[in-house]
Amino acid sequence: MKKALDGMVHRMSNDVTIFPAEAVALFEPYVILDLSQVKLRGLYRNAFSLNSATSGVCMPIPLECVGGFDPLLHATTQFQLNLLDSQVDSQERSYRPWLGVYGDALSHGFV
Amino acid sequence: MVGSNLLATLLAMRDWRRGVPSLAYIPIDEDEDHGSPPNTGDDIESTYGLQPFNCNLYERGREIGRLTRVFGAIANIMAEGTFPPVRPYMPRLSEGVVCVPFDLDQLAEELLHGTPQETVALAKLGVDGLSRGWVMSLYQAVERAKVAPDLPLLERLRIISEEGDGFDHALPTHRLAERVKEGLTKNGRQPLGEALPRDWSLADRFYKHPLVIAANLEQGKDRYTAFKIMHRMAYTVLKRNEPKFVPVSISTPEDIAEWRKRGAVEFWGEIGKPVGDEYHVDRLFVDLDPRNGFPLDDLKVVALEAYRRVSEHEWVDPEQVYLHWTGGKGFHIIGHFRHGLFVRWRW
Repeated sequence: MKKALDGMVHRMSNDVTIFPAEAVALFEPYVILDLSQVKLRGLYRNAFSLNSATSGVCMPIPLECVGGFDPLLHATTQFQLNLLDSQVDSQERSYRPWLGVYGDALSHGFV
Repeated sequence: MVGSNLLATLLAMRDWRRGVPSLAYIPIDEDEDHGSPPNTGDDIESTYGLQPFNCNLYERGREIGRLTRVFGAIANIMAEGTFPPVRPYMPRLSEGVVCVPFDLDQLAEELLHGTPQETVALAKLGVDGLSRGWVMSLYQAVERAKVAPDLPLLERLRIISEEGDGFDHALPTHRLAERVKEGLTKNGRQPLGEALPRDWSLADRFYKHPLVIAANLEQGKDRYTAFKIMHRMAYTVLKRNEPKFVPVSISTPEDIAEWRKRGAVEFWGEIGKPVGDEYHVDRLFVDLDPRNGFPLDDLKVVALEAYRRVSEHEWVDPEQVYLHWTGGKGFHIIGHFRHGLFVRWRW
């Protein structure tokens, strides 16, 4: 599995701004495609968990919302609470279908 | 044709990186803290007849380690196509096979620290007086205790250091043991952002929200959950076993409320799940981590491209690929496998 991801990440890396690992000598902006959690009992933050370092919300983003997404506005606890409050009466409680409802509300929140 | 001197050096370095004891670390007076466990006589120098030549394995390990690191750096800038893009399937470094250039960075670390890859994180902890002999002693203690073999070494050590017995036996010098415990604790701590204590009531409301509870229960329903627990309103530590050797699962809203009471501020899920005696990984996961102010708009482009590639992977169910904002500065891309597919992970 690591091999499959390694191949994908290496094909995406351009060795200028996208790297598969930390480029310690680089002072220019770049992004790491980090696979370090792809291991036995590897972890990642749940969606709808807070990030304790920033107090921002780890949140799912529907593809159509990516362009308008502003973390300083939309990933705040207050914004998410307002959004979730508007969903409380939603009949859809299964996680995946509900994410669609959440996504719709999110995209309306961007307008 | 390899000369006997070179052959002896290579054999000595092989044992050095495996953590075999070396003469240089034998305490002169075992009552004093010289930073090493007692040597049993099976040292590298005696084995290869190096003792009369006043060799210094530590220095030689550092020299060859640095050289190996340079080779690794050269390989990184070689033209595409010079070697396969990913490591071919073959035995791993820990099994005694060095696959050039893929294993060079790990091999360099092993040579520099004189310990196997599994223990490098401990050797790099930077605790004053923690020699390679003690590193190996602690590693062997953890292995003997069979403590949570699926967790990284530092987490396993943290568990036995809280237990006491095995840890104290492996590291009987009190002050050094205290320094290692402190190093382990500090290593597991993450600073708490300023905003969270200020918005505590908001965080409380957030985690009491029925949809937030439902979402976290859903994500933890068939796998272990980990938490970041807040301490002294200043830092967080990762908690994933409770009691010490039992991984945590959450299945009811009461579980979430209980962990919140104990200071949980973050909820984490694993990339796989336990099935009987096995661990099945059932999703692809990529973490996009921007550095040095990488622009958000460019990050979104990279995230969408990674999302597309994960979605198109043959194992992945395209209907179950998620793009998450991490709440910090990056994105996660998670691609769940098609129904019934999994990768069996070796324990």
